[in-house]
Amino acid sequence: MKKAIAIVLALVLGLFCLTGCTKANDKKLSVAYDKYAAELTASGTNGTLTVALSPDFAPMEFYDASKSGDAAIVGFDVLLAKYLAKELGMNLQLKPMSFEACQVAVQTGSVDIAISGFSWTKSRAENYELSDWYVAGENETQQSIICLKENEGKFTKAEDFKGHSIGYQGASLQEQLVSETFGNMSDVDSKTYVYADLGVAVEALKAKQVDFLAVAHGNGESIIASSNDAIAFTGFDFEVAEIYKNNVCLLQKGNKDLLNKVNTALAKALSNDYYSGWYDASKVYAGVSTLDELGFDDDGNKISE
Amino acid sequence: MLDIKNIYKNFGDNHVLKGVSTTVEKGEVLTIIGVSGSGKSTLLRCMNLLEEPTFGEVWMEGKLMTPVDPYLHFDVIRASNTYKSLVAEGMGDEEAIEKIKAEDLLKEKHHGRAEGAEYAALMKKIYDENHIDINLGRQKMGMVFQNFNLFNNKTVKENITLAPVKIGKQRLKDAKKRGETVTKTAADIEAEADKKAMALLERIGLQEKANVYPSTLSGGQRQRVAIIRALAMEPDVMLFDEPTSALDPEMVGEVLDLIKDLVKSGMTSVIVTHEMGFAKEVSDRVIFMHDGVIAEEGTPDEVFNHPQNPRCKDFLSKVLY
Amino acid sequence: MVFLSNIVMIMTRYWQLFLIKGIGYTLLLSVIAVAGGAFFGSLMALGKRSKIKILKWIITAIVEVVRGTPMLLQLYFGVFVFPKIIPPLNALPYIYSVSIVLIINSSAYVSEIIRSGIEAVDPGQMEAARSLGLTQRTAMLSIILPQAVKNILPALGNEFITVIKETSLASTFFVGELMTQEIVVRGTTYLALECLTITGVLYFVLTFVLSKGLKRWERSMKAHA
Repeated sequence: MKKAIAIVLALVLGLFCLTGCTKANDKKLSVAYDKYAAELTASGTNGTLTVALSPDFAPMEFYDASKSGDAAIVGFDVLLAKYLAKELGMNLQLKPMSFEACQVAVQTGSVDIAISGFSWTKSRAENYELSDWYVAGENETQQSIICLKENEGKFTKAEDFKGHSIGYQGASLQEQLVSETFGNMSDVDSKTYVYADLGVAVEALKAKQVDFLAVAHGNGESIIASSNDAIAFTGFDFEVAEIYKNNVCLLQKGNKDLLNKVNTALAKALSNDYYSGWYDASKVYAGVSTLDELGFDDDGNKISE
Repeated sequence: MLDIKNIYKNFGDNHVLKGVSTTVEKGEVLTIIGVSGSGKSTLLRCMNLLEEPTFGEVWMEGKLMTPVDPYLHFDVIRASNTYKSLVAEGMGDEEAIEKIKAEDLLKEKHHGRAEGAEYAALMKKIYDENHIDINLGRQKMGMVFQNFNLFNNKTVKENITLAPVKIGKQRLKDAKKRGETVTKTAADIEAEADKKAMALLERIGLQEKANVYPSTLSGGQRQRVAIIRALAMEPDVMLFDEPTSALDPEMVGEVLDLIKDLVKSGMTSVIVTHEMGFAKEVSDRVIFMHDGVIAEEGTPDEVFNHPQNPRCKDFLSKVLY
Repeated sequence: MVFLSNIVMIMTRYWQLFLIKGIGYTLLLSVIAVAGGAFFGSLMALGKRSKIKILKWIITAIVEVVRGTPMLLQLYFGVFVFPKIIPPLNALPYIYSVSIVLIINSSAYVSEIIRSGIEAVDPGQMEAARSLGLTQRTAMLSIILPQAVKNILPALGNEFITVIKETSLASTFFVGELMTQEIVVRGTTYLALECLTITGVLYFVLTFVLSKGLKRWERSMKAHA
């Protein structure tokens, strides 16, 4: 018995190790991003800005496995956080935690601000100070529905979805959109499913437990890219009111001082159009797109048109 | 030697002992018999305070083991505020005392000031003059249990030497603290205890078992070791709580023989047992307990052959011996 | 099968995260939790037997609250509320607050393990010891506690294995243990099934190996007595 266990363990571990003898060569992917990150390195004299975020959401915030420590957390929101810290003359401290925990952290004042792909919702506006919107590429402006490959292109109008089930991440913009758009779906067969996180939702879609998923378009791209052609866009996009199209930062209710400083910095970023470059670089880093496709040269510099 | 005064023991609402008094003289062998639930084991366990009496006092060699029970000291009752107020209302001395005793009227009777400073002072005086530390008292009493209770994590010899060594060393430390000159060392104490233990083991023929653990012994062997473990402390009185009730029949004899030897050599003993033949043979006095009180008391001949109490008669008739 | 090739791909890229960081942090947190838990749990078990009523009451309250609330809740509490009471925690990474919560949690359970280990010792042992005139303290140290330890150690081992699994809750705060790595990799690859499978297998291997080792150790202890 002892011997058998030892052999099995050795085989299992050996299998894992054999397949892992080379570290992934992702240097190329991060080259554009790193350039932006380097520009935004803060040198704070005004204290530390603590930022809560949930790095499970490529390309907005996610982990680079080849790095360690704070440098491993990357993505659009990270660049934005760096930018804010620099503008405010503060040091940056990232506090990774689950999406729900981010909101708790802001509410209790444990962190100064949460930048984690939050959309504007009425209840958030009531409970937090929401910053002005920032543009997260078309991640939020475009809200789509994805499906299994076999259904690609077949469902393009709202009525087409009657009688089918749709899933979305809990407490998300998509939840609001689905209830607004399909709210009158009181037919016998139509159901909505709520998921704690996108990964689980994607599995449900693959397992045909749910017919469709409502996601932000950028996430949809990431999902489709890693799905080995099993998932595709239906072709249906939600009509998104302007106020929903973009992301906001969350601050503690009453923290007007920091809110004003953040909004000033955001206004500057908007007028100088920093956002698109950051978003594109993050997309490349997340493997959703390539340097070429998004107009970068091989050294990571934006090719001006 | 051992003086039991008016012991009551309540477990919540269950009144197990309802006023038991007896005296055990030096060298006397007292046997306690009765049905289960009559209070015999409880009475025995009150003697070395494994159970603390609800009322009553236990005196060992002239020293008080329990707290002072004011209901046994009339002068103390008379010093109380409750008595004083009853008498002031016109009650007679005897009547007041009886009423107070019967209805347990004294407040905070062991510790408080509720009955006045005079009462408290008197209680303290009696306590200070007579009380002995419970551990010291127990060192002079040996107890043998129905389930042997040998220390499972110690060898047979260690079982026997543990108490003498620990207590001996503590006495040495205390003496040194008090500044007395000591001639023994800790090592001496250990050596002495070891010698004594081996002698005791030889006495019962178990010297080869000195270094084994109790789990390897038979029931009869364990009980005999338990008996000499108690003897190692050189007690003045031995208490036996149904020593053979948990033994297989073929081992009862060897244990009873050992107890007989002990008793014949003059050890004061109190034995709770169901072995009537044995009781008849070794006892100087027999007590029959029923429903928490002594229902019959006398010599073995008197109790076994000419019982007066109907319940005792009934009990004996059911027991074949 | 696509599933297996995905697993191979994930392990090729991220094996360090799972095997070194993930398992490493899981074991680290578990050892901290149980070692600290054993120490403070012993103190708590001792305190519960003391005569000082207020001490007993405080310890009982802690034990009841800790055993009566979900671990996740306690972690939230530890991460967001403790730094307000203990300011130095603000500057430190979350793993410190998480470790404190894990220790407190384990202490509560360990103190109960110790208490029941002691109570499981035959009361006759104490009676015999006191009847010989030994003090309560000597009886506890020489007779009761050594026997209680034989009851306690296996239960402690089981607590360790339970804690290994409970540390997965710390992933809410991305402290780096195995479940955190699962979330991280899942967040980049969107291959939930594969990531969960890998993580599940690793947790299983961990607990399986440990409980086999525990059984071996228990057997060798029984042989001694």
